[in-house]
Amino acid sequence: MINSGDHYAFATLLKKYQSSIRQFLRRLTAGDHAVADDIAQESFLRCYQKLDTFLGQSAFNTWLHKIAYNCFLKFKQKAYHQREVAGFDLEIFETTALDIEKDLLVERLMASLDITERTCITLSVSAGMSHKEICVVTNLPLGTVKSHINRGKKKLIEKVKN
Amino acid sequence: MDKSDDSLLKSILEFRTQINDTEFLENTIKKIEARARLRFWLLSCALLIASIVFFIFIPIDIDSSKIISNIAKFSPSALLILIIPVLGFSAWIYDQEF
Repeated sequence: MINSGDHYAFATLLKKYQSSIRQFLRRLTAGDHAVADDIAQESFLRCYQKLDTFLGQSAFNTWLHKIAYNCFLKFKQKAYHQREVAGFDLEIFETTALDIEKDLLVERLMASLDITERTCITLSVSAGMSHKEICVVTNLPLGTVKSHINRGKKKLIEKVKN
Repeated sequence: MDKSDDSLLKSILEFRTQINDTEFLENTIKKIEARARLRFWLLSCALLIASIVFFIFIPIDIDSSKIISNIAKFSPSALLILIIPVLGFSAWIYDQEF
């Protein structure tokens, strides 16, 4: 068990979870890697500060995703008030469209979903979380999570087939 | 939605690349250390200010009426000047989520 204060032990945790958290946030920001990495860093900082409060009621991975999701929502709120960050604009993305790989295309595809759908779909299909775990991360009731996933899937299938 | 659509989505949406970036890791650890240092200095400053306030306002024989009368000696504008930075500082601390 790692306590806050043990920076180097925390680095091990960081190594283990950085990929999943950064990929999750890249999907949520629809491909804005710089913003996603900033939020990921903030999430790990918060995780470090709140390690003592982790009681093991959920899996550590779920808890960490919850922190990352809350950091993302906070960032969105700030960006909305400042109106500086152009709401993860696709135009920013299209400037680097020449070297798009599959992952980048998926991130772009995510822009067609709303934030909650993006979150539920990514956690369910990409991160392989159960519906109950998604409820913990998003603080939404089970029925709402299921309907967000179904709606998101339908939208994505439509986009892919078109 | 049929099963083929479901598996199509699964194959599209899976995380393909592993992001293992040592620079990200080092930067995060540096930020953690920097924030810990900042927290230490802020707490030290808060303790210092609290000690100064203690010595100014609280006499050795603790008497609440004296404390109130000492505070009352300040003009309202001076009190306001003292209170505004304290509230601002507290709001900033709250936003930083130490």
